[in-house]
Amino acid sequence: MGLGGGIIMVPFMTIFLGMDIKEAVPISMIAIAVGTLSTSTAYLKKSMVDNEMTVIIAIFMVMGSVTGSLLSAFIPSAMLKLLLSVVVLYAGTMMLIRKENSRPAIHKGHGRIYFILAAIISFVTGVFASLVGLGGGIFIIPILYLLFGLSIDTARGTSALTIGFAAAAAAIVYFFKGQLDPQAAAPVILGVAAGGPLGGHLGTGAKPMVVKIIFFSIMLYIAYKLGLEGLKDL
Amino acid sequence: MMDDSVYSNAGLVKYQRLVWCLSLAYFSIVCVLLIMKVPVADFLSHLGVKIVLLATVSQLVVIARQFRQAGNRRFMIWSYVLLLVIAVSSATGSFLL
Repeated sequence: MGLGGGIIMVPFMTIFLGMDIKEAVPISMIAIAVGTLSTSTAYLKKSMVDNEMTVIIAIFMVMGSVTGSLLSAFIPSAMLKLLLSVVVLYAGTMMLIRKENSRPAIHKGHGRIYFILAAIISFVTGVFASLVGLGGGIFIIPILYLLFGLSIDTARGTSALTIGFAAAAAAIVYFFKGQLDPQAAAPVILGVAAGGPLGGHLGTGAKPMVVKIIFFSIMLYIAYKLGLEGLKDL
Repeated sequence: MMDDSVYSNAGLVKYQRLVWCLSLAYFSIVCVLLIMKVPVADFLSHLGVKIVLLATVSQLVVIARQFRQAGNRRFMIWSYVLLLVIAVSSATGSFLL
């Protein structure tokens, strides 16, 4: 799908394995970093990655991730969850209804505007993703697809490589702060490394419409969960 | 501008394959040692995490080389800037958080 997998890993580790979320998020981050090493190979082989876009987005996403980690202490989580719920629902719906040949809002030909917009959006995405403990694929894919006019396949491939760098930066911070337990992370890394190529292989062969429907379903579920948790926390 | 006919992801694909194979083998051994409760497993899991993070970030050197080969100096420099940003952000974040 081009997602990091944090959206599945964090709830699984906290709900089914009984881990504290503060323990699960660092493990999720390193697993995302390792996972993208194997999943993005398949996308790279099929030229489904925009490397220029990857570099630009990753620079500002990394800065956003670290900023988000610092901001998390000051922003009420209920407000954040409700806001994200609306954004995710909107992006999911737009992805489903948007036609492949419709004109993108911004593209490389716009030069400086393209660069500035990419920088701002990537930074904000990094902040958001970091605040909720995800890799950021759930935000980056709709942005690449809706705003920058990349095809859904290239958006997934570019996202798969990009989020690896942001997740690695976050994992380094957690590791050196002693919040990442390598013994608990080892089996997760092994599982992600073993399953990654299969996901990449299936992902490159999937039909765009099927991907859109799966993506919309995931986003609908996330919007529901975030909205519910946000209302509970109010 | 980049010459798309020259630009190739072959180097990055080879690098990712190599890292993936080594991580799979390494963490398989670590997991077996953890199950057997061998004392060295703790040290090996710490080392493995460090190596795998370094390997992930090192992809940027491969990407920069690919940009250089395609004559795209601008994005070659951006790739190294990203490497620097990760290093500085990680160091700053580790210090501040």
